[in-house]
Amino acid sequence: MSATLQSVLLACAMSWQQPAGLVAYRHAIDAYRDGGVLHQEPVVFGAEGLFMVSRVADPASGWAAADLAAAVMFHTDTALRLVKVSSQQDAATHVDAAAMLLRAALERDPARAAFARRWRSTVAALLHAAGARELATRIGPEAESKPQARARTAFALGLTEEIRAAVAGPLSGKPPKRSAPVTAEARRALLEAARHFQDAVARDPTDVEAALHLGRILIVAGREIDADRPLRLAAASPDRPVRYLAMLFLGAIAERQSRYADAEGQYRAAGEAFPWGQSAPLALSHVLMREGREPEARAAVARHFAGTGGRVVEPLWTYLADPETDPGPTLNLLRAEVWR
Amino acid sequence: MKGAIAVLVVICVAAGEAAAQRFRSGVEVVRVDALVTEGGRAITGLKADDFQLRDNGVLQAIDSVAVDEAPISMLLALDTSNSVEGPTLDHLKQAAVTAVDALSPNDRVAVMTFANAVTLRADWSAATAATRTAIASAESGGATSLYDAGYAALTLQDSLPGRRSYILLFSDGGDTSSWLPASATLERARRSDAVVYVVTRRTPRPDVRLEYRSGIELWTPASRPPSDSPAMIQLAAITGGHVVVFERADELRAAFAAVVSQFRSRYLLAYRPRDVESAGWHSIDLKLTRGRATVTARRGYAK
Repeated sequence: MSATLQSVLLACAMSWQQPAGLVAYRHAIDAYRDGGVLHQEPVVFGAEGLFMVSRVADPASGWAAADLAAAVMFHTDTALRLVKVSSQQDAATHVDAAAMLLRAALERDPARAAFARRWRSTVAALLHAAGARELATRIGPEAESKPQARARTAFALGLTEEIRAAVAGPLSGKPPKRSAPVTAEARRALLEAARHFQDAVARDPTDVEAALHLGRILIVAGREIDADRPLRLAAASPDRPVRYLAMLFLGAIAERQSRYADAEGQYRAAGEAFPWGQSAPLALSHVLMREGREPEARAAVARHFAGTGGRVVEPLWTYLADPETDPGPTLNLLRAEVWR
Repeated sequence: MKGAIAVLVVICVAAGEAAAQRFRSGVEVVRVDALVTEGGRAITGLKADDFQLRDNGVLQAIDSVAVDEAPISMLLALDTSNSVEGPTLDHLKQAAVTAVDALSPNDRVAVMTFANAVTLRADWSAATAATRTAIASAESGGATSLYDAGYAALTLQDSLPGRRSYILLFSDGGDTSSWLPASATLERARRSDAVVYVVTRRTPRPDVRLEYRSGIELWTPASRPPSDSPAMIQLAAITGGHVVVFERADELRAAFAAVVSQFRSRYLLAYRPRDVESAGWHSIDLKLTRGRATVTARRGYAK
């Protein structure tokens, strides 16, 4: 793919005025979505290419939000690769292209706000880490209202407390007496986290990430009934990682309550929402085992190994990750979000 | 070999646990995979009369005892997380190849690696060059989905009948990224025919942190009695296997070779359960009729 794709993009950049250039560009983005990997060599993509991107971003282009999001990640990967070989000027064009496409994707589908947040924090952190601080500033601030900004602040505080609770963990190796083992320190942190996440959801009812975290905290705190509502809100989100995790957590509640058919339904739906995860097929297999459906339990695991083709990206692995300090896993998740 | 093995600390797990294999062909036959040791050495040459087996407390007649006759199906589950890098990864790969080379032509092997992601690198087949290539292709990096990997390994046992199932699970640390809690993997072990040998760098300790990322326990305490024992020791105990602790990476080859050698010293007992309820959990109590040797086998089987 590498040499071919590079030549395709160079052709795109040179011939943006012609319909063939756009077709080639579309082909390159589709190949990225299907292949899940980027070319091996950096792609030079000058001002002409940026102009072509502006045409794609135009509402009249016919590009859907999902296509635009894929293009965002395509240019993101290219920019990061160029930064590594000290081609900051060339990388800047791709960062600008990605930012422009992201704005267009959000205009087409405002529900991609969580994706946009993840992208901004992750890519800014990666550019900073690569020494390209000026480039990081080109990403621009998140467009959000005052309630949304306050909700994000509350979310960040909640996440800090949730991480603190996870690190505190259980006191001993004894099996938990509740839905999860917690020390006194962890319990205090969980309560604080719940308070912040509740605040975030109250300020911005569309903040599905806050709803997801609130739901998980309530499960761990033993309040499974209370967890149901925020998790169902998150499970209805169009954001695939959020939907996936919410369904896993809802499945876990059902499994703990011995509602195995409900759990099975949630785990299957999670796998459909985000097919590259590892947790959903294992969770499905496990609940099938509990039901005594051994051949199906085995098949669920075998199907996972046969079907992912080595492309395993699990949203749970970035659930508590801070993109600013450890952006790599979140970048992998962003890539997977545009796969098809 | 003896000198190399001597540097290993072998933790014998609870005696009286037997690996039971069940085959449904008219009258159900239960097979129990067991190891008999005395002073750390495997005892061979025992006959059916030397064993006393109780199924849910009811004394059973043992139909047959075999050693090294049924072919082996061995799944290698290898931790390739961040901490297993450089020379340690090289030693691990050499050890895995050593284990594969020790198999007979009728034996079968599968290779699984795990960091964050659990990857089946080689599905069940006879040991071939492709198996060795699969081992060689392993790279290190990422967190450790130990419980997810344990569950997957136990679930993907070889479907060919009439074989002894073994899992050689290598890990050098605790779980950091699984969805499944330890209890799920242990319950899988109770319902599996496989015997698990755990090879680890340090003696497994009780988990002192949040041991899986979801933080959500799927099994309620009432369903199983609590245990203070670390999960990997429980896993070996439940299945009738062992925990082998190594100190230096260059001991891994000897450790793996010793484990496969021990597979061939194990007895395979078969019996048809009589006078016991069919459904539910069947505890197995396997002893010798005389002598002070230790019998290591699984605790029972679920129906």
